Amino acid sequence: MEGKEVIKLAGLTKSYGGENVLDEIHLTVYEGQIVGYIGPNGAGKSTTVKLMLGLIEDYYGDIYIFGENLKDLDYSYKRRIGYVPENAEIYDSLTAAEYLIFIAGLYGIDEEEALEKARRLMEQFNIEHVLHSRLSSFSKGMKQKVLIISSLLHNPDVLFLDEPLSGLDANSMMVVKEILALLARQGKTIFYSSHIMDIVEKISHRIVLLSGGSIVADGTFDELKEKNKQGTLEDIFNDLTGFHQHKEIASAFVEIVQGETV
Amino acid sequence: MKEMKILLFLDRFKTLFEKAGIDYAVFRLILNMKLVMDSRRIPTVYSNTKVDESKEKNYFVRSLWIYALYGLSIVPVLFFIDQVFFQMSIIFSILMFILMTSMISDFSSVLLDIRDRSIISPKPVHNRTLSAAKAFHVLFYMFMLTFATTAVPLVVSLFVSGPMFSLMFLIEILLLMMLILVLTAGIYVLILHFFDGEQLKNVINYMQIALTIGILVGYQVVARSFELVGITFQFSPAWWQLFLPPVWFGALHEGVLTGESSGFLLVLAGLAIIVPILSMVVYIKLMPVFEHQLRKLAQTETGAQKQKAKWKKQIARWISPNLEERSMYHFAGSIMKKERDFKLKVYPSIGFTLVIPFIFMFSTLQTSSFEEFREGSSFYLIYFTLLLIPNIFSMVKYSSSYKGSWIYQVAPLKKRSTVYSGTLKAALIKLFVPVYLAQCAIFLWLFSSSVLLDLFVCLVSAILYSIISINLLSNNQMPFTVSYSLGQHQEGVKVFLLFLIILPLVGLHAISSQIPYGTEVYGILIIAAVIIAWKLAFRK
Repeated sequence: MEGKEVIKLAGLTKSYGGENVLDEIHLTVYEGQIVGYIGPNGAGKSTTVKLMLGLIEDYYGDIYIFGENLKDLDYSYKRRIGYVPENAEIYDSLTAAEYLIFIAGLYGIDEEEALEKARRLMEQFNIEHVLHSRLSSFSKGMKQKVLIISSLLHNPDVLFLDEPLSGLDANSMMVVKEILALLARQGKTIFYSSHIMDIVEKISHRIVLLSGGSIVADGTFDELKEKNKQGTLEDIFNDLTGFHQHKEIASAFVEIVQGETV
Repeated sequence: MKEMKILLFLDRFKTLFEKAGIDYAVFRLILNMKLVMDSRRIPTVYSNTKVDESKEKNYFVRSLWIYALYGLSIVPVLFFIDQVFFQMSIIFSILMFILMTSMISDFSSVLLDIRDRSIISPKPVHNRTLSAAKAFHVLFYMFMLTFATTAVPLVVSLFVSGPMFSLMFLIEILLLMMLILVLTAGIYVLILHFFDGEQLKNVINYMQIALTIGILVGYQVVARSFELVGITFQFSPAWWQLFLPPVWFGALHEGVLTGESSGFLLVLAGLAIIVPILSMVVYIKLMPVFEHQLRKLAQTETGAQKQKAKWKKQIARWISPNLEERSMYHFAGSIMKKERDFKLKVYPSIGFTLVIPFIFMFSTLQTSSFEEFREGSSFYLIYFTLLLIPNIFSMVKYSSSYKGSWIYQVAPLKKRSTVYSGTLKAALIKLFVPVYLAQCAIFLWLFSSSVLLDLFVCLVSAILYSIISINLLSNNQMPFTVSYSLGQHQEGVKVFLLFLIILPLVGLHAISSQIPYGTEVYGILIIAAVIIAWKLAFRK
């Protein structure tokens, strides 16, 4: 299924204060792939995404997007990218409609078209009744749906999603998972970061595990299973990141909770 | 989204923007969004409801009348000073002071906003367009503010000094606005260039204090450019006037209206025109650099965990024996010391209160000897320090992380008032007392230890004043629960009223000192007043 090269990281290194958050990352992602990008907290997942979006600068190595070096590109390549950040900031004194029209406008989509598209997409998510309500009154799941819509309004070729399902109920989750699968089948590339292993296991064509700034595993779920002789992605994750003491930690934690407060 | 009228005006200059490399459609979109957001009531955590556009008002615009009031202070200058040069230099000193201080306290948060970065930067928007939108957002408010301040003086000048005078005045005001915007941004670029991370945020605050002091001192220097000869003020040229913008504008006015054309005057007048325009050009060119440097603000270093010093813990225990109140004391204290937005708004007034007493002393010293001055009653100037208190308490209900306020609802609080009393104690101990003690040290040196009791009485009055301030200003809102927005001048009137309360405090103190042992008795009375007020204010 190797199509066109969409993203290529060549020896990508980023350091903060002398410490390498990303250490010589080599990764090539092809058209139509859903890449599950996983790793422990602080492994450098969001740093990678932010580098590709030009939100952080000063790195070593090269980033190629749509075959071109990021260093030679101006801002307009972002037109083909959709992004759902984790803990996204949002202008919450705007209504959903205003926010979506605003975001669409930044991508050069005119107001009527944006509103019509936003309304129809919100209808599919069952939240069209709050189209003209302030985002500040939205529940976490509703906000998340708006963010997902805002990342797709301009029909991007690449999607960067960071915990896109957080706050969604089980039914909406199924819808979004299906949406992602369909988008990938149409040739869109999806970069999917999450801590929920069984979802990553199910939707990803390819899993990349980042730990301590380096890629420690890269392949389909079946390939990883074979190599590590473990049953689930969660087990593989624990194994590769060298974590086995969850039981001891849990019991120590509960002991502290029950003990006298200091 | 509602269209803001100002945009229709800007549309005329569309080609100009595009020539400057700005994507006008996107620029317009961002600016409109920002103005719409300003006109909305700040979202509180639990309130909801559909947007009713007819009820939307820009809170900032509604608070402008207070600036009109400031502007009135210029009117007497128009009437009582004849020499155009001197008159205009003084007027522009006042204007520059009003505009510059509101710029650093109110608009720094707009200029230094990094939220835009996370929402807008992943989108295909050029940095220059974003910066331009931000600059015009600030410029719009600055324009409103300048207009509110100068409308009355402009009209008055039309009648007093004729249309030519007013026209020149108007042009000079526009030039001044450009200069101030660029100056503020320029200072930030400079700071951002040399510092980064957490350290930077502190430097900005100290810079603000320094700037406030600088402007106040500069005002004195402008006045010294003129010598009183007989009954007229004569301009005495000196090289350092090249660095005083108000004198430039004075010179420009003089030059055009009286045809005076000495070489030095022309140089000064030229500066008034060339510097603002040139700096605006440089600013537009450098805007991307500014945005780029703002990135540093987003980076936070994970500092080493600091243990609270033992003596600080001891003070806290002594000041707040009640555990609930003490945790509020620590909490409020750390927010006041760490939250950037809070510091941006409050710290400039620290600089202000530090300098004001000495400026007054300075003018007293010019007419009397040091001995007379020491014996006199100039030590009452210490009461100026109290101006800091309403400034602090008008800001404590705001926080940029106001959403954390759910904790008040969840925590099993016995008495709501412990939250307020803890905040009050924190504000006094962490902000007011250090400033006050610094002042006291200088006062004791100037006036000898004979004023010790008076300084103590003033400190007790400060506590009484704080109790009144926090009650009047809290509006029943818990500390740190409301989001910042440009519309926070709603407290303007109350703060102004609170300033007036200082007068009877000084008055009673001064009267009591005329009676033998009067100060001692007054001291005891004011302590009693503090105890009673405390009990009443923090009952439930």
